[in-house]
Amino acid sequence: MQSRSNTIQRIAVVSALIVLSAFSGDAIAGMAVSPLKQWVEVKPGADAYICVTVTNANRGPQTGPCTVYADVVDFTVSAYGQLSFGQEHKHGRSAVPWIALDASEFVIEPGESKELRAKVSAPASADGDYWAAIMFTLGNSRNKKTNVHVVLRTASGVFVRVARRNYIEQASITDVNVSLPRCAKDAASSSVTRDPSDERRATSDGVLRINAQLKNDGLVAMEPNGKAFLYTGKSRRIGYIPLYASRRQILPGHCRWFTGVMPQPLVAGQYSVRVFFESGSKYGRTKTKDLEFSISQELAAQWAQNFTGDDREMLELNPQKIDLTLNPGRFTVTKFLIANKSCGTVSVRCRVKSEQLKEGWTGLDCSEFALAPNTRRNIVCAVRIPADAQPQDYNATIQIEAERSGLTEQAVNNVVVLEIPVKISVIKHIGGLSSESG
Amino acid sequence: MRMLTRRIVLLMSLVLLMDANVVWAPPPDDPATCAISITVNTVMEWAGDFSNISLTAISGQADTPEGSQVQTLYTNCNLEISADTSTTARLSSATDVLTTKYKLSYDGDGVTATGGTGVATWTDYSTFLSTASAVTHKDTDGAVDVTLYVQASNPGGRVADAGAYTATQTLTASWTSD
Repeated sequence: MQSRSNTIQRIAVVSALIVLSAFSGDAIAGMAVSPLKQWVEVKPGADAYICVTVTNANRGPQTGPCTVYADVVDFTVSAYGQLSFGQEHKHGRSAVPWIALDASEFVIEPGESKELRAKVSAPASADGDYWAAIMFTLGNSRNKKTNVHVVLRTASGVFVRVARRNYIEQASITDVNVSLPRCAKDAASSSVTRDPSDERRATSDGVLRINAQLKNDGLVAMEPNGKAFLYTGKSRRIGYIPLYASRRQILPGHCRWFTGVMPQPLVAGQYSVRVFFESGSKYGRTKTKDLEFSISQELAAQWAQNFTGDDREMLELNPQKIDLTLNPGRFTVTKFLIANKSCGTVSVRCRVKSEQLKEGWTGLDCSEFALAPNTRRNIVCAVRIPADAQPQDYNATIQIEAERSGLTEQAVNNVVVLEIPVKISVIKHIGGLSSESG
Repeated sequence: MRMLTRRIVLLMSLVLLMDANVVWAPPPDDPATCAISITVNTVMEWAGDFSNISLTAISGQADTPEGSQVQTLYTNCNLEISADTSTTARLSSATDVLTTKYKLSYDGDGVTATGGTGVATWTDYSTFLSTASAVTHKDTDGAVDVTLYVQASNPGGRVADAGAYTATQTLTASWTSD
């Protein structure tokens, strides 16, 4: 009887330990959200549906169930491209009231996925682009009481276009300013402001900065390209400066700062700068604004003395070539990285050149953009092989033409053209599929 | 004339029979093929043990206890991480507050591996990641370890009230530029 009682006690203790360990919070859980943003088009007064997939990836026996909270929230984008989420950022083109989720709290077991459906109902009076975000919060960390508890969230952007007609992009340049390089004595006498929101206004590191703010006055989002030309007092064009923005897409009513950086020194004198913005679509118009500035003798001398040259390779590409082995009917994507290694801004144009590839076989997600100094960008190349494609090797090149900021009348070549060879081997049978880098 | 008609009919019958043979014949050998297409959407996953950050007790005016937490972030795209800069992220009790600072680091630099530059210096909660930190994805490297550091200290020139202090820091991952 005594031994039976002991056995029951042991079972109770072991059971309690198992229960405690299950709730000890050491279990691993994950919340994978896909996609991070999406566009949906809906007619006025009609409904459309979108999906976001949330997955709790099974990463071994330690993986536990994952509670996820989903909310539709407002967000706004600052003039410097910063996203801010929450009720306090409610705005006139909010899509929050239009989006209904089919669940706001759910549990995903290890290895499971949930496709969260959202109904988007556009009012009959809606016109143009509206936006909101679905905010997914990982629930596992919510219930703990330690000193600092960390809540992890992932935002998935939802951009809604209520298309009534073809929209003409409308924009205005609201501000242009020039930041001149500081002399060494100025730099020594004051500490540099590193508040990132002031970064574009900062006058440091011996370069000329052209800052221009563009406002979207239209009803639809736009992705403009910006550039600036430098002129001497006699209206002779002497320089070219591409402008970049940390977030190129400008939503209706929003402003965005674009910045161009030129390290090459200017001689003393009067200058003017003309800023251009070209619309990313065929329905837009070019906007320009002029500004004058002068360079003093002292600054010109200091600038020239501090300038160490910019002889580095302008661009770095990775990979150097792309080889794909695909079968007919296959769709895949491959990426290549373009890095700006120069001290100034660089404008880049990419295109696929081939006499062998037919139209529609390849596409680049972005063909024209600007890169800030020492930044890089991934370009996605989609490849779609038609089902009736003849098995053979198809050769193409991705041509990358880049122009860096600088003085155009000096004997310095500011334009480079680089190529990435692309070889697509189309084979008929899967059995012959040897390798693929896509 | 009748003979010619018979010949034509006979010839047509032969042609039809030949066609029928073609139709009824078994199909030629053809290896089974199946074109598989898949599109990989952008994915971002927070993963980890979610054990929150505990700090040792402050028992002297100059004590500055620190703690950290590592989260693995799986991704196939560029993204950015921002933090809560409201007073929710500041260590507070029912009666007092502590000076609360944060740092963030990645195990990749965004050039040779997925990651970024993070925030290397202790930054007050009110400005920590007010400008989002960019995470750059490098092909074939789909994971980055994100480490969040917290430091607590007494408010300048005095000792904080005794008691338990808590804070909630929210890290938000979101899409980056187009």
